[in-house]
Amino acid sequence: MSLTAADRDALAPKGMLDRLRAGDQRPLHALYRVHRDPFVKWATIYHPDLDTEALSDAFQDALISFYENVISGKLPELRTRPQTYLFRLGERFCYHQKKKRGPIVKVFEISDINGEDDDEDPDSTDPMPILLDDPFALTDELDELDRQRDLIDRALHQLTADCRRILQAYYYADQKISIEKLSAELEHNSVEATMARKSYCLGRLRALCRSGLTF
Amino acid sequence: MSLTAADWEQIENYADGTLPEAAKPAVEARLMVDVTFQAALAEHRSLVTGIRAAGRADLRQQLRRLNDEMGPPLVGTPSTPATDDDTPAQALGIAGKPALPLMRVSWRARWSRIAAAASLAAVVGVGALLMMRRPDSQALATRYGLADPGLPVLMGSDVPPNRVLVNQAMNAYKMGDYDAALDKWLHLPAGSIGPDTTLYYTGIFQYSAAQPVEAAQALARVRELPASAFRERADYYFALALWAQGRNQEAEVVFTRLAEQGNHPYADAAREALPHLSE
Repeated sequence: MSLTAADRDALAPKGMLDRLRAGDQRPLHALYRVHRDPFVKWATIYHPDLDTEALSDAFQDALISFYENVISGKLPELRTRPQTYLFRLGERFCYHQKKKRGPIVKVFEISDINGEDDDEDPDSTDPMPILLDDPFALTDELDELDRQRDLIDRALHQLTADCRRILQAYYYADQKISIEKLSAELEHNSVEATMARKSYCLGRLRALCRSGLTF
Repeated sequence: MSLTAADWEQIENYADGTLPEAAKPAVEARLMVDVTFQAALAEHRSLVTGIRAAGRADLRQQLRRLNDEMGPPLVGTPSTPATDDDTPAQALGIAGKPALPLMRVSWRARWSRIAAAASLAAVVGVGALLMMRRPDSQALATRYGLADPGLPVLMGSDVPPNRVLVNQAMNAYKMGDYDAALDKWLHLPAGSIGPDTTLYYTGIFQYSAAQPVEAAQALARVRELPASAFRERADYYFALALWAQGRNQEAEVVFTRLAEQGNHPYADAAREALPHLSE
């Protein structure tokens, strides 16, 4: 597909990770626009049992994981091209998609799971599939977790837009860089003022969650 | 006992890793004995987990919107479902493309289509020459392919009937007549040979017969079979089949993975191939 000038800027290798760390998500959108179709075409060969929607979801998972690895500091630099990293990650998420669509989808060899950590592979971060002996064993706990997250999500949407942005910038995106940028954007006098606001917003969120189903 | 604003600030800073080192022992000592304090820390962590999940959900929403704006991915058509009457190759979805239906077409329409096709072929041909460096599978097999020896051919008069066609296909393959080998292989009676063997040699014959797209599809399915004895060989030929299609980036991913596996029998071959992908 043809690249727009904005995509080219967003995808410029130099500084891409810094832009993501600073809270700029445009590189993610550009990566998705450019690499979704090649990924789906490629993954169809590996996973002919997954439809294009599932494969697109897997690629979205890969981008989200890539972003979280960058902003959390787990991925300080890319030693390979972004598309290679994303394809590797996306392939692993295909197994998650299979898990979502059926109880048992793939038998892994023990050596795949129990092997030594591959220190040489900077991309071998988390998302290996988790295998449960009894897929229903954790259902109750997971349901409770879902309920809690749903409550917090609804509470977040009861906050002001500024509060929501501060909390997400602080706790989801990289804490230090984002909060400084946000402080300037919100025209706060200082980062300390933004941090004080963050504490206030967190208190509001806590109160809303404690009130449970009343909101 | 309820907590003060200062208590909450301590908890936040402790959990977020922003509490000064000097203040940590006091917080940790209180956490050992104060149940309310412990519960507050758990509540804070739960909130943070929820905020992160919401941040991820927002990002997911953005990507889904983008996905909808882009429309469905442009990929090939899926294979048709198998039936009980299919040959093994058909049942495995690898029997090749169905013939196009015959249609009555006027000569005028034919000539106009031929002219259009010729123009298109010329454009594609020039474009291919200018833009693509797609190695043919024969060249790759010669340079990097570790020629698969094929299955042993059973000799003598007591060859089981179900192995006759297998033998013929293998003989054709060993003689270098890959099209004939493939043709015979795709017509094996059901149950002649195991499904992974069928798939693997379908891929090898297709690859040898310069059909890398079809070969990659068959070999990809062998790679999905963890118990197959052909799995590791399929990894390597799958990468070669991608390369033969000019899909160097994807081939690079597979070769890299093989090269990183010290115990993979094709790790050395993959390492040898990798530098040439960008040639």
